[in-house]
Amino acid sequence: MMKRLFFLLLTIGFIATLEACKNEDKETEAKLNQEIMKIHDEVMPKMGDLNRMKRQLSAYKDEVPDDNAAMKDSLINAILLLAKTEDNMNDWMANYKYPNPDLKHDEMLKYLKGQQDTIKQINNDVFMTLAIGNGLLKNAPQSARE
Amino acid sequence: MLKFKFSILFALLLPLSIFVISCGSDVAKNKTLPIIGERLGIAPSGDTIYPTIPNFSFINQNGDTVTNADFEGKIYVADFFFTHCPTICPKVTAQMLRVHDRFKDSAMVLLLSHSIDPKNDTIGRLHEYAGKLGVVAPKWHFITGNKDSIYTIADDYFSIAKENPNSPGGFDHSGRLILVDKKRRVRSFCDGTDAKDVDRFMGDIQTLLLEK
Repeated sequence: MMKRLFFLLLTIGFIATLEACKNEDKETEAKLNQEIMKIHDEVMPKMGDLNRMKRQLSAYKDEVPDDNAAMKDSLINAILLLAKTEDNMNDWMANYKYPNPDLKHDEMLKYLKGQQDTIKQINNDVFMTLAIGNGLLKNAPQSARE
Repeated sequence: MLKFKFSILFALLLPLSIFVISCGSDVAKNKTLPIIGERLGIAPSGDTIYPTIPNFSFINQNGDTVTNADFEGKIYVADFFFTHCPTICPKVTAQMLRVHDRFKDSAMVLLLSHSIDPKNDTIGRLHEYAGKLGVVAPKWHFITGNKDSIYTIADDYFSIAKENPNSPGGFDHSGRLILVDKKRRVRSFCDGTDAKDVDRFMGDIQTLLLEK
């Protein structure tokens, strides 16, 4: 009788420990997701700025005389960079998956850390491309800046 | 004695009824929504000119073209979203759904949700999204199209519907819902993540419906 009770308690204890570990794992994943969403929320308000900058540079490019090939090239490069950054952010959001029941904790942790690096990189790219755009727009006529 | 009681009752009820009749009806009659946006000038006719939502042409969840003509003689609620948005859009869509349900049977009220990620939000994806919400066009259009055109019109909406007249405006991923009248003018807006603000906004839609 005592032996049975001992095994019963041992099993319950074992299951409880496993559940506690699982909950802790989920909490770690949720915290990492929150950190990722915080960076996402920093980037999102800049998406309108990125697109507006792209349209302004495009209008400026159309006004630059054909003989100023260097300026036209700079503008085209900046426009492509802005478009690429916009696409990277949108694609990242479209593909980001949380929670993902198909992945074990270790794999999920690895995935989330990778995603955190990606969104950090996108955040940097957004600020950098906007800075490049602003630098170019300084020389633009007023009509292109509206 | 009975006469005295009636007099008191009459004395109490008369001012109350006058208050209800005069004030109550006045509120209903006189309440109009302001026209939002900086005045652009005065027309030769003497009418004040307000900013309006420009022409547009996009594709909805059924693959049909949607233009200003589809909103002629109607009032509509506009918002900007994308189907895979992980943070605020689900909250905003839940509030848009409340607006939809409240005015479902009013043919005068339409909803227009613009995807700001038209590359990923294909017609099929928008169709699936609308299907999951259990809503259909033309009551609620989910539109995709040229990205720059969508962002340009977002700038138009948000440059009118902004909290501070001196702020630069523009799309800010704020989850704002914007009410547009039959003359394409913005008449109200709210924070689409705040249920209480949306309650007030739905009251504004009701007021605009009563406007002649």
